[in-house]
Amino acid sequence: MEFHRQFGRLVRNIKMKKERQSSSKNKPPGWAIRILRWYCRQEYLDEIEGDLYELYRRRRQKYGHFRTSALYTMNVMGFFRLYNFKGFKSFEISGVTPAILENYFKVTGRSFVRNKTTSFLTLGGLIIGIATTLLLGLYIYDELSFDNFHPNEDLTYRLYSEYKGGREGRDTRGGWTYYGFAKEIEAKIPEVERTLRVKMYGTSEELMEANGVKFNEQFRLEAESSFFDFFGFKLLHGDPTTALSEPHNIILTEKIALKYFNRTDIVGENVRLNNASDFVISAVAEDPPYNTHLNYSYIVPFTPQDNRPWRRTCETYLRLYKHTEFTVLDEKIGALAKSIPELKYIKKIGVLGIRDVYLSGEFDHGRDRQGSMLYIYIFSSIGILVLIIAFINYTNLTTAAYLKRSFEMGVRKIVGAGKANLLLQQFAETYFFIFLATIVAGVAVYFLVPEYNNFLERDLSLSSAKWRIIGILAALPIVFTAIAGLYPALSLSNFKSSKAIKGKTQLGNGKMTRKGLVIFQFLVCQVLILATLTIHGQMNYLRNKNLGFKKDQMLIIPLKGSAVETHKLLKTEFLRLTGIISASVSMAVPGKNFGISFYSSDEIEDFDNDSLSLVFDDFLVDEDFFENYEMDLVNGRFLSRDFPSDSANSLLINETSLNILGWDDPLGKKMENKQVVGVVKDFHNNSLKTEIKPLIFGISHLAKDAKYLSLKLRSSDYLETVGQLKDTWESMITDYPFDYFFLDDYFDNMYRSEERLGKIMKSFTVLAVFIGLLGLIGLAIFMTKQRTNEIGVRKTFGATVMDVFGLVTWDFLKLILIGIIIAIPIALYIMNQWLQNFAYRITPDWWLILASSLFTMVIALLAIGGQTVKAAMISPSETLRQPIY
Amino acid sequence: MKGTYLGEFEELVLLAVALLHDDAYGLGILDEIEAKSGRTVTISTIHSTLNRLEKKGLLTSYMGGATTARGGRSKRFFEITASGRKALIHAHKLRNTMWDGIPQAVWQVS
Repeated sequence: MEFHRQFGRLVRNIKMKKERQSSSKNKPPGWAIRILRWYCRQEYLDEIEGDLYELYRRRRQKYGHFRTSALYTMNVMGFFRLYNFKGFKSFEISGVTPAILENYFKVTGRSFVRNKTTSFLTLGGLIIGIATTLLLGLYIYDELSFDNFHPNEDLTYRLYSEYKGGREGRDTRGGWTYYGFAKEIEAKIPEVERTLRVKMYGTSEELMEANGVKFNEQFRLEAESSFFDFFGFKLLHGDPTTALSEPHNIILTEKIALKYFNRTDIVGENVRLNNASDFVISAVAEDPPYNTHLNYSYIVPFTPQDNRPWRRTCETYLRLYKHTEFTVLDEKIGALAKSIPELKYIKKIGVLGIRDVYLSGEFDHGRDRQGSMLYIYIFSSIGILVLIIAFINYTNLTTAAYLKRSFEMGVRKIVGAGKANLLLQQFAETYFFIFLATIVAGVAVYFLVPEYNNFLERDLSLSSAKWRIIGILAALPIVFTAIAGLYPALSLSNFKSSKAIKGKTQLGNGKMTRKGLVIFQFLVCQVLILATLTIHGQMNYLRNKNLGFKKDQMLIIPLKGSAVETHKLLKTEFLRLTGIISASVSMAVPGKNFGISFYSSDEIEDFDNDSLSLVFDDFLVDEDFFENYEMDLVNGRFLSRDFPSDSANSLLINETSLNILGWDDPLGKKMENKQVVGVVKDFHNNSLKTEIKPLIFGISHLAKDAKYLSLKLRSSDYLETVGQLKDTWESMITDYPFDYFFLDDYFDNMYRSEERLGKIMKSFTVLAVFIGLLGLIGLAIFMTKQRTNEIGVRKTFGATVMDVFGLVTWDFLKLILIGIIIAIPIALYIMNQWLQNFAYRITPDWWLILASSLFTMVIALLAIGGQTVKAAMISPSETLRQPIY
Repeated sequence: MKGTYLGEFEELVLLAVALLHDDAYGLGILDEIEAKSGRTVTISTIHSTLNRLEKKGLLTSYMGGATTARGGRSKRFFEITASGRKALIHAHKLRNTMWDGIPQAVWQVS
C-alpha cells in the first residue's frame, strides 16, 4: 500500500515535470498551487487541485494566460475554509449545550477560588495593564484629534516656508508665508477654492483695558473676515459674517469677556489696547477648544498691507474644492513660489494638512501647543508593552496552573471532548478573566481621569470620545481573549489524555515558552527602567547644570509703556527694598529676546574668513548686569562705569565668539568702531537643547532698549518682597500693571515636554514592573509547589535550607538576568537616540546601569523569596507524604 | 434525521448529484448547475456544499482514478444515499402538496 502510494506520487511528479517543461504559459501559477498544497488537507487536495486544474484548462482555451491565472488564484483563495485547513481534522465542536457552557464557567469559578492568590495576581495584572492602555489610548486619541472639528478639515491646508541655513546650519522652517502669496494662489492654482490669512501673536503680551480693568493679555489673533465661516469656531454673541468687517472691531473670547465684564453680552462695549488703539466689541466667541493649534483669546481684523506683499508674513490657510493628491498640491505650490522673484531666497513653500499642523510642532517655534509624533509613538509603544506584560502574566500563570488541571482535561477528553471543545473551554475561561478585568479597568479609568488630567496638565474627557470608548470596551475583551488565550488554549488542548490521566504532568512542552516569556517581560521592564533613569538623569542635568550665570532667585520685570522711560528711577527705588540684593536693566535676559548683529569680515580687525557666518547674539545691558548675573571673565575686564568711554566704544565677547574669530590676543581688537575689552566665560543663553552661540555685550544708551529689569532677591521672604515691589510699581507706574517672572521657572519651562515624558515614563514603568512582579510571584507559587517532592528528596539527602533556597531562586534569577543583559544594549541605543535632541547631555553611566540591574534583581528576589523560603523550610516528612497533583 | 433542513442550494446540488448519477464530481456538478439554473457558481461553494451534505449523511463519496486532464489528480465522486433520496422525495412532495393547494384564483388575476 505504502509502496503503491509512493509510486503513484513518483509517476505524478514525473508527469508534472514534463508538463511544466512544455510551457509555463499553459500552467496555473506555481505559487498559487504551492499555497494550496501548503494549507490544504491532504485528503481534499486531490479533488480540489484536480477540479481547479480542469477549470483552468477549460478557461485557458477561451482567455489569456494572465486572466486565467488570476481566476485560478481567486479560486484558490475561495478554498480558504477552515475545514480545508491542515490540522483541523478533528476540529469539530461537539455537544456544546448550555449545560456544558455552564459547567465551563462553574469549573473556571472553582479553580479561581481554589487558587485565590494566583487568580488575584493574574486578575490584578490584567486590570492594571488594561487600565494603563486605556489611559494612554485616551491621551493619544486626544493628541490625534487636534483640529478635527473644522468644516472640510480634510480639504484644509496650511502653508509653510523653509529657509536655507538657519542658525545652526539647519534649514529653518516656519508655519508662515508672505502676505501676497495667498492672492497668487487664488489666481493661479485652480484646485484652491479660497484662502484665509491670519496672524498669530502667540505668547507675546499686550495690555488690554476694558470696563476700567487692565491686564496683560496673550494670544492676539488677526484674521480675515471669513474666519468663522472658514474654521469651526463658534460665536456666542454677534454676527459671524460681519464681526471682523470693520477695522476697529474686536472679538473677545468668553473667558476674556468674563474676566473684564463678568458677563458675555457685551457687544458694542469698548476695548483699548496698549493705551493707544480703541476697538469696539463686535462679537463674543466661545473659548477655542484645547485641541486646536489656532489658539486665541481675542481677534482683531487682519489688515494686509497690500503695497508690501512680500515683506510681512502671516499664516495662510487653503481650502480646496475636492480631494487632490497631496504631492501634486505640494509641488504646484512649490512651483508657484519658485516663479515669484521676490521669494527666490526661500528654499521651499509647501502645504501641511490642518490636522497635521499640531503634531509637526517644529513649524511653530514659540507657540504654546506643540505636539510630537515621536511622543505618540513612544506612548503607544509603552501602552502596548505594558499590555503585553500583563498578557504574559496571564499566559504563564494559566499554563502553569495546568499542572493541576491536566487531570480534568484528561477526563474531559475521555468522555468525548474534542480538541475544539478544550479550546473553547480555555477561551471561555480567558474571556471570563479579561471581561472581569476590562470592566474593573473601565470603572477605574472613569474615576482616574480627573487625576490623570492634573498629571498631564491636560483636559481629556471621556465624554468627547464616549461612544468610541464604549465600543472599544465592548470589543476589547474579544480581541484580548483571542491574543491572551491563544497560547494557553493551544498548549492545553495538546495534552495527551492517557498521560494526563496517569498523573504525568507533561510540563516539558510549556516550560521553554514560559521561560522565554519571563525573559521577555523583564527585558521590557529593564528597558523601561533604564529609559526612565536616563530621562530623569538628563532632566536633573538640565535643571542643575551651571549655566554660567545666576538664574536662581532672579526676578525679571518686563518694562513697558512709561516704565521704559523711568527705568532708572524704578531701579533706584527697588534697590532701597531690603529684599533686593542687586539690580540691572537690559534689552535681553538669558533665554529671552536677544537681538542679532551682523558683521562682515572687513568690519572686524584681523579677521578675513568669508565662509564663516558672522551673526552674533547681541546683549545690550547696563554696567551692573555682569555683577548682578554673577558672570565670569576669562580675559580683560567687564564693562564698567569707571571707564566712561565704555558706554559708546567698548564691547565684550564670549569664548565661542573668540573661537570663531581666532584671535590670539583679543583685547583691543576692533569690531566696526568698537573695541573688545574683555572675554566673558561661555554661558548658556538659551535652552540646553541648542549649542552656545557667539555673542557680544554692549552698553545700551537708548532708553527704549530697557526691556527687562532683573532683580536678585535675598532668599528670605519672596512673597513679601514681591508685594513691596508691586506697591512701589503701582505708586510710580499707572499705565501698565505689575508683571514679573522668575528666571529659573522660565528655564524649567523650556523642558516641559521632556518633563512630561519623564513623568509618564516613570509612572508607567512602575506599573509595568509591578505587573511583571505579580506574574513572577504567581509563577514562583506554582513552581515551588510543583517541586515540593524534589525539595523533600534533596533535604532527605542532606541539602540545607540555603541550598534549596539558592537552587530554586537561581532558576528565576537566571531568567531575569538574561532579560536584563539583553535589555541594556537596547535601552542604550534608544536613549542615545533621544539624547541627540540635546546639545548638552549626559552619557548613561555604567554604575547606574549596574545599580538599576541589581535593583531589579533584588526586587525580584524579594518578590519570590517568600515562596521559595517557605518551600525550603517545609520538613521533608510532610512533603514526601503528599501526592503530586 | 428528524428535521433535516435542505437549503435551496443544497437541494440543487443534491439534485445535480442524482442527475449525473455515475459522473458526479465537483466540476461536473458545477457545470450542471450553471447550465440548468443559468447562474454563476464558484467551485469552492460547490465543494463546501458537498462536504456539508456528506456530513449530513445525504451523500457518500469515493475517490476515482487520476487522469492527465486533471494534472494527475484524482476525482472524488459523489453518490446519493438512502436518506439523501428520502430528503429529495420529501422536498419534492412538500412542493407538490403546496403547489396543488394554491387556489385557482391566484393564477387568474393577471
